[in-house]
This record gives sequence, structure tokens and C-alpha cells, in this order.
Amino acid sequence: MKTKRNLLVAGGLSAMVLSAALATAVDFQPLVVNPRGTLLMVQSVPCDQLVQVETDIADGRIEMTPARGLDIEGSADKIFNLTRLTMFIKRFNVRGDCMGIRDSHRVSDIGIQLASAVSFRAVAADRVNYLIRIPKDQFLLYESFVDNGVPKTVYKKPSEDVTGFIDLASRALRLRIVTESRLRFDVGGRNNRVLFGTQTADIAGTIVFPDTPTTAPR
Amino acid sequence: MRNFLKSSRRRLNAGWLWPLVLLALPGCLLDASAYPPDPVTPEFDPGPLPRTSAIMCEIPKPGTTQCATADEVENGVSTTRAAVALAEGDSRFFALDYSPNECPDGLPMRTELFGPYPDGLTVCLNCTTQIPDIYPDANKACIAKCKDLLNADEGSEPDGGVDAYCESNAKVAPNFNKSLCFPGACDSGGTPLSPPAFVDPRRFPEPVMWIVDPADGTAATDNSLTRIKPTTDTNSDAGFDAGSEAVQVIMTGDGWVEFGVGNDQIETQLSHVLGLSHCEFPCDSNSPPADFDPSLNDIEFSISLNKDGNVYVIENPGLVVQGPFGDPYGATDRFRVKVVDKHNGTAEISYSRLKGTCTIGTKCDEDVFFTSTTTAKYPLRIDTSFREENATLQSVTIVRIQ
Repeated sequence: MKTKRNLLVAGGLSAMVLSAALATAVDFQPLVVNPRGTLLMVQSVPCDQLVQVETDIADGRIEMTPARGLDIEGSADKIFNLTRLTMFIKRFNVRGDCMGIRDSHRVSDIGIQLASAVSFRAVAADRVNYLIRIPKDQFLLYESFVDNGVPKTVYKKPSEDVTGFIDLASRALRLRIVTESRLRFDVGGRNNRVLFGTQTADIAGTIVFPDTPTTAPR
Repeated sequence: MRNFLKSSRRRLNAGWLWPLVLLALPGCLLDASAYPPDPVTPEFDPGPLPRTSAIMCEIPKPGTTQCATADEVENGVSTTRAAVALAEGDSRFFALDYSPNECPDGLPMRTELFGPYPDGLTVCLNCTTQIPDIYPDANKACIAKCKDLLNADEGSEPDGGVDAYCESNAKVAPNFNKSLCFPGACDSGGTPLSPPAFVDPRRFPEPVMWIVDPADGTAATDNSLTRIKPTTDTNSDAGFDAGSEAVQVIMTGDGWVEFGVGNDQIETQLSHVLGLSHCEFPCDSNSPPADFDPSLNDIEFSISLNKDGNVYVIENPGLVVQGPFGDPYGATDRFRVKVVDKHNGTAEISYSRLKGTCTIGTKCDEDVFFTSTTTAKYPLRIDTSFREENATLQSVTIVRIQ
């Protein structure tokens, strides 16, 4: 039996469209990112099997304020506030078969929500690219889902700093969020085990600035 | 192997990926008890599915209240500006409190919150089952949510403990009615929806409700008000002898009253006045004292859309007339009497005309054509006066801290 399980969640989201009028100063209405893409989950399991699930990010919204960041005196860096992050993941079914035992799960209504607004410094890599690193301790997620008809919720913090970048030239925002799951099997004595897994969400999306003429949801 | 796994007890939470893990555990797969218990029993219970309603919670982060820096002021919204910020879609990171404090240079205190301010944290639940049966009101639900957040957010343990902190500090966000929920704000599983699927109702201005007394000489249709009393005098201020006041009162904070005129062809040949006046005691947010004066004399700060087609400001005492301002008004024009809290019980009053169309939840383009040199004193009620029969104030709305 394996004592360690790795879970990979990879989310890819579409590219973004930035305002053509980047230089136009606006108020504190947020920039909005509508994430899209796929979510890949890979889980190693006993019996030397691998469970792999690929599903889509059905919808979502990321808001950061102010839309073009706050300038920092004497620096090209900017301060942004990530005030909202929600993602809806399309439902999926998983089936397992190990040592003659079979089971299936229907997971639906999967939602991920930022539970705590967070402020971060975006470091200027050049004139249009800003690097994001949000300390993991400041990032709190709230997940809800329905498993075989049973609603469940959980709070989570990332296991690594949340990283990403804002690319004004290619009109893209990307974020990577890695969380870890630990499963302890308490069977007494020396057989106690802690199993680890990770979920990695790679998020990208379309930026819509508040003064951008667009049909994107506002 | 089978016995080994049957006797296992799982701890810690793997979230919505649990099913995958369970599949990895032969012998537990068909056993419902194999699901792991939550590490901590949550205080907040969103109830059974569907969890499509939401409450909006204001939950400050412990230890984050301190004097703001100048930069942080730029990154925050004053608590007195909450209603305007909601209407304009202006959400920020800090809540700023300009109450008297010991901060240098008149700077406010600032506080970090779990959600954006003033929007608040969206908390999804089944309102039908949870309020008031489980939680007497939304404030209590916010307190429970606060406890979960602080328990999950290691390092946020406040002095005095989580329970006491949340009881004292967690509440519904500005302009959220603690007795209600927002239906359709979340998907059935309990994750907040975004526009256009759901638009926060607090972004919409309130329609004004009129208190129409038979002696007022007016009639209300929804949030519009028309003079029905026959014209008595078209050539002097004495002709302003019909008018009514509104139910809503601005007790504190920034806000505005917005209005236009009726779309009859002769509307710009009629005289309409709408403005704000200090509301004498007793006066609460939805109950001003009776107003027996339909004239101009008791309206302190007003816009006059006059029968000559021009826009004026009329202020009392003394019936001081300013203007005319800008182009003659038309049936599609919208005007605002605006209030900005000076954090000392008084407010600055200004007057504006909107430019172009205005989208809900955004800052409207407007031309502020006059700012009063006289400060207003809270609370402020809405009052009107008309001179000619059939003059109509159309679709009057208000933005205020409720």
C-alpha cells in the first residue's frame, strides 16, 4: 500500500483582454477576471492505480482593486487587493475498482471561494509585467461541494505561496494556488500513517477593466 | 488489509477531493462512515441544499485596527461613504473610521476585513431553513461564520478568544437588512454567483416613498410625485403651495437624492423644487415628523427646475437663489442633491446634473454645478414644492446609509 498520494489539480484558463485605455485613471472599481479552462486531478491510489479526472472550470470571477493597482512611491511596484475569487468546477464522476471492491462518486456543485480578502505587492518585472507572490498564511479558501448528494464544506490554506503574474502586454493574469491534503490513518502503534496530496490550480483569465467597453459580465 | 482499513480513522480535511481518496481505500469504499470528520465542528451551518441565498457579512480581522497611513486611506472606504461606494461599485480593502481618534494629521483608523468593504463577505446558505429557525437573524449567522473563519485562519486568535471577538465585532455589512437574505445569490451548492447572474441589490438606489397628506396638493405614483392642486400663482414664490416629503431620511454618511421631471411636453414650463432639510427631533431613518409646510421656506438645500426652463439652486433661510446653471433642463435630465459627511455631525451639500446614461453599480459621469457654502446638519429629510399644476418629479431615488 502506498503511503503517499499525490493529487494534482491543474487548471487552465483562457487568456485575457485588457483595456485599450490603460493609461486612463479610474476609480476603485475592480478589475475583473472571468476564469475559464480545465481542471485536471490526478490521484495515485493503492493497487498501483491512478485516478485521473479532467473537468472544466464552468464559471467564476476574480476581482482585484484598484483596477490598475496603487503606485508605491519610489518604486515601479504596485499594491493590489484580491478581494474576490470564486470558481465553479463542472461536476464529475469517479469510479474505483481495487481488490474487488468498487465504488463511484458523483461530485457536483463544486465551488471555491476566497474567504479572506488579501492585499499584496506586485513586483514590477518590467514596464508591463508584474510578479505576484502572496504569502500562503494570508490566503484562505472556502470550498463547497456535493458528494453523492451530501453537501460538504472545508476551509483551506495553500501549502505554498500563491504565485502568478499580471502581463499587461499580453493581457493576461495568472495565478497558481497549491494546497495540500493530509490524511492520517490511525491504526495504532507504528502503523499510523499520514498520507499527503496536493492540489495545484493554475488559473488564467480575461481581465476586464472597469472603463473597458465590453460585454463581459459586470 | 481489509481489517486494517476498516479500523482506520481519518483526520484532517482533504476537501472536495475526498472521493478520490476514498476510492483508494478498499474496504472503506462502501462504508459511509469512512468519510472523515471535520477537524473542527463548524459553528456556521449553511443548512441543507439548495444554499442559493446569501447574507453579506462584515467580519473584521483581529488586530488590524490601527491608524491609517496616507496610502491606506487611498486603499480604503470611509464607513460614512459605504452607501455611495456600494452604488458606485467602489469596493476596497480597508474600512476607514473617521470617528474622533488620536491618529496624527486627522487620519482615520483603518480595519482589514475578511471580505471587500463595503460589500462584505458573501455567505451562502439555505435562508428558508436557517433564518430565523437556526439563527434569529443574519447578524447571528455572521457571528457563527466569523468563528469558523478565525478558527480556520491560524494566527488570527484575538485577545479574549474567538467567541467573544466575533460576538462583539461580526455583523451584517452596510445596508444589508439583518432580517432578510438575498435569494439567488449563490449556486445550489453554496458558492457566490457574480454579475450578471446575480447583482447585489444594494447597488440599486432606493425608490423614494412619499408621505402624501390630503393637504399637500400632491399625488404619488410609485416614486414619482405630481402636483394635483390647481395653480394658484405663477408669478411669485407664493405659488409654491403644494409639496410633500419623503419617508426616507439620511441619518448620517454620504448619499444623494436623484430625480428628473415628467416627460410631458410642457414639463419644462412648470416649476419643481426638491431638496434636503435638517430633520428636527423626533426623526429616524424611515419616519420624519409631519411636514405641514408645502412651500419653499422649509427646504434648506434644493434644486429648482423652473418654469423658465432653467436650473437653479435655492437655499434657506432667506430663499437665496443661485444660477441659472448650464443648459436648460430637459425631460431626460437627471439631477442630484449630494451629501458628503464631514465627520462632525454636519455635511457638505453639492448639486449635480448627470451626463449621459448611467449604469447601475458604476460611478456616473456628472457635472457638479454648485457646492453650498453652508453646512447641513444631520439628519436630513427630503422635501419638495411645486408651483404649477401637473408639475411632476419623476422617479426620485435615494442613496443613503440605511
